[in-house]
Amino acid sequence: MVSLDVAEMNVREVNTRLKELMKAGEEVEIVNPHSMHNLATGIKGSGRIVVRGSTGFYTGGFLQGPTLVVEGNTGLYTGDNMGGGEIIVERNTGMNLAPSQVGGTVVVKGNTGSRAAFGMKGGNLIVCGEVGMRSGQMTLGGRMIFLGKVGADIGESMYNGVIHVRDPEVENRLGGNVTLQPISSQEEQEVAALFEKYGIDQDAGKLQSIVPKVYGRHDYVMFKPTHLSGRA
Amino acid sequence: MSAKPQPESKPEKSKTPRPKDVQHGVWNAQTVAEIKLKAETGKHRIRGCGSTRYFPTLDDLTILPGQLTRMPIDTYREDCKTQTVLGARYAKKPLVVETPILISGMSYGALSKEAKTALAKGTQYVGTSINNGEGGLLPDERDNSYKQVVQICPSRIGFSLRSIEAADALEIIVGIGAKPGLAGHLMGSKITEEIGKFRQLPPGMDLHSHPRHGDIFGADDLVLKIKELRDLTDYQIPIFLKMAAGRVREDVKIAAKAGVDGVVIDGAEGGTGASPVMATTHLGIPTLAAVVQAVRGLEEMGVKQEVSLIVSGGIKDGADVAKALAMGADAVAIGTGAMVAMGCVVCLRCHTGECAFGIGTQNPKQRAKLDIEKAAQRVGNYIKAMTVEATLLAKAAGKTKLANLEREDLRALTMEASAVTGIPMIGSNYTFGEMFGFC
Amino acid sequence: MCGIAGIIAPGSQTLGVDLVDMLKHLEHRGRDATGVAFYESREDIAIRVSLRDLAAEADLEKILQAYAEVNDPVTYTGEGIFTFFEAKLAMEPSRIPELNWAVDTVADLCIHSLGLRLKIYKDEGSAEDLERRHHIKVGACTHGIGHVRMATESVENIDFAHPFTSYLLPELSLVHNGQFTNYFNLRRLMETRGIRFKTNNDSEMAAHYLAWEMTENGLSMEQAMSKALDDMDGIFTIIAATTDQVGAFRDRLGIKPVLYYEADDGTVLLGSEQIALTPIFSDIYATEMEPGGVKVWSV
Repeated sequence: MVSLDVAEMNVREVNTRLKELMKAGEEVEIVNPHSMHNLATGIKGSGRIVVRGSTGFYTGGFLQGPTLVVEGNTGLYTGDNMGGGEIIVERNTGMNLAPSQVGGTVVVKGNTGSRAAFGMKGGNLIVCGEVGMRSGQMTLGGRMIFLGKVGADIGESMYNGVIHVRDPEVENRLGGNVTLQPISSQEEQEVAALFEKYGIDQDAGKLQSIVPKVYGRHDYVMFKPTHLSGRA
Repeated sequence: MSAKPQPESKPEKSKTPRPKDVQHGVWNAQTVAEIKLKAETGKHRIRGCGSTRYFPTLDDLTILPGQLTRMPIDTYREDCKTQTVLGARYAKKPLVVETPILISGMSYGALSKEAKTALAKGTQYVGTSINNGEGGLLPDERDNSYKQVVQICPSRIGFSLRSIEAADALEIIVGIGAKPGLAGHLMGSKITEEIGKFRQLPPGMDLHSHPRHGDIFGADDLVLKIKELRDLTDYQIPIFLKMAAGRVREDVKIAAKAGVDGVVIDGAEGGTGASPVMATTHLGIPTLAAVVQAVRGLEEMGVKQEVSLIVSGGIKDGADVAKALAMGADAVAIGTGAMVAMGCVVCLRCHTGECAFGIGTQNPKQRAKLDIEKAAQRVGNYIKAMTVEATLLAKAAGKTKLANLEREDLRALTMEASAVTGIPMIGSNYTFGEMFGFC
Repeated sequence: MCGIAGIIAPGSQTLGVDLVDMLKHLEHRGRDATGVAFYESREDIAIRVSLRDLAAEADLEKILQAYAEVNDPVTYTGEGIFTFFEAKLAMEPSRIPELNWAVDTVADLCIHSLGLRLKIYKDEGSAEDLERRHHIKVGACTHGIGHVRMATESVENIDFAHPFTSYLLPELSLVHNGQFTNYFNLRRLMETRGIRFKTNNDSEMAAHYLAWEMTENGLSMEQAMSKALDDMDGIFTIIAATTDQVGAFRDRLGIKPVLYYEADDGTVLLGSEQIALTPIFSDIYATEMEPGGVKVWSV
């Protein structure tokens, strides 16, 4: 295992070094990250990076292959536009988790904030803790698994993809143009496999699925006169 | 003896085509026709609808969108509130409508019973108000409207204490934008037995209303008249004053001093059932200019926040609504637009009493052509669509409430509009004289 | 666009340094200007004023002498173009709002802070620049708020830097991240009430708004902030403080971030980003404030 103390390095130097190491399939530990922004962005390859501490914004953005483990917290936009590989955050992460994720798997053991998985297009996203409002908005694909409490307007205007939730109150918090339905047995199997791989002790059978409306047009109510809301 | 001079031989005809003289000047075909009519009848011409001339309008303004410094709001997935409260200055029960688009006063007489009923029903779909206009309060209108504004016009046709009791708001009218300084015209052809009975007029005789109120001879009287109305209404409902756009700044100040809850300013683009062509073409100022003057007048008096401002005259789409609100109006009113929604094609013949769509007529055969329910839905659709258009523009400018549009969101596309309004020019931000707003 | 931070730590002897440290970690959000507001436990009324140049000092002294006895005056020029004046004043506390406006009326002068407990340092540049140019001397403080600025619509000018105060409630300080989209309408509304504005910066309006609601209308900070959420449009987070309270509120769409952390020892930290809290507690996870949320802490 290569050990990299980044206290005195700038992020460009760190990422350049990481690119070399991941090309060679190495295992690296990063110490003294001090909430560095843009750490481990745009890395291809097949190695493993372990960060011993907390990171800042855009951690692991555009990741394409390696496994990235952060033992602390991460900032906003973790896993931004990620294409492949794995990101595992041991604790919590900031808002706007994994926007436009295209592939790979992101696992957050703790909580995240609002607007997670905005515009997700592929891959898997698992949050063991809470997610904030408007998560899963406008997704075009991918599988999201939210095990904790979910915020308002979840899955707003999804075009494709699926969200599995455990929150029993999720029915009151759905966004527009999605429906809630029981998890299918195929989905249950796939989710159970993911839980096994990442050591998540949960029963996939207890989840429900949020799926997008895929016929006709999305409904938008743009004029909401209050005098009519009392009627049918 | 000398030889007699021989006639010269005629020159050959030229093959070059003669220039055509196209009349761009005063004496065009229109002028010639008007003169011939005057020569024949000795009368001024009266015609339906309103002015057909060009005016500078709100279309000459553009709205600045949010991009980086300000963020836009999602057109489809995030809300923009449209509920509007009018007349809260003194009234205990202000007029609350779900959209800032009201239906302005058009008389039963100028319009058919079916048209009035359809307009009233239309207000239910969107939660707005309708104004009865000059011709008395039609029960079908009152029974079907979401909110009812009752007009107090000089002729006081059909007006009594019962009218006040039936009202959600009152509107004292001194003039309309189509013919400022004149008053109602209803041609004899539209005064049928039914209308005659309703208005207490002999059928078939042209009605020319008097322009001034018989009980308000100036601003000093107006103060007391409004006090009288306050007593009668127990300060419950708003009292508005509608005026044509003329000397707007001064007129608005007087209305505010007299104690109104709101002013309605009708610009020169406004419509009417019948009016002298001279009046629609050469009297009054357009809505674009009137809004600015009204806002400045109210601000000079320090009552802009309390006195509601409603503008009408040529309001046709959500852009007009958004821009009028941005300039400082609290609401707009539509007249001609609502008629077009029901089927009118602006043929300009309302004064004849012939309307192929059953809207501007009293002819029973033509009236039968108007499907009330369908027309009501069309009016509702039109107002709903305009409201959404206005919110679309407001959201692009970063607003979550229509009322939060501001004059600093606007720029003028033409020098004319910039000079008229005091809104800076696009590009250079140049202003002629006093800027309307901070920037 | 901007970064905001706040700290409540009643027993702290290091708040003066801690708050600036928090702002250093937010520098990437804006380097056009930096400002801090401290609430000290002290005995005198302190004043800090910026002057366009030394020539304006005479005007300032004249005004001050009409209201107070001026003690320990210090005038210095930072590395920027502005001159700063600070002093202790012995005066009738009830006359503070009047004096505040009397100084602000002069075009070349701008009150940065005037009050029994409040002291504000703000200048162009980063937190390091602020530390270097101004020898920030604060004693034991109970709380403070700070700001780093990236100018959006108004000028990059020191008097437009946050924290803002209001002559209506001089011990109120306010920092703001975001942009109001109905600032001009609200300003017009407030001007009809007789409220007077010094700058064209929309954050000043927020300060006057809260000050007005809390003084004229007698609202609590929490009520005033809830009302502000309804009246103000745009994307924003705001942290405001008075002598005994710190509050924060966030726009309904929840676009601008503000996080908070309440420690067991009573310390409360606020900031635009997690990273701003790390100089004080390096290994915590801060809570994201609810969109459309208002939270007020008593000190």
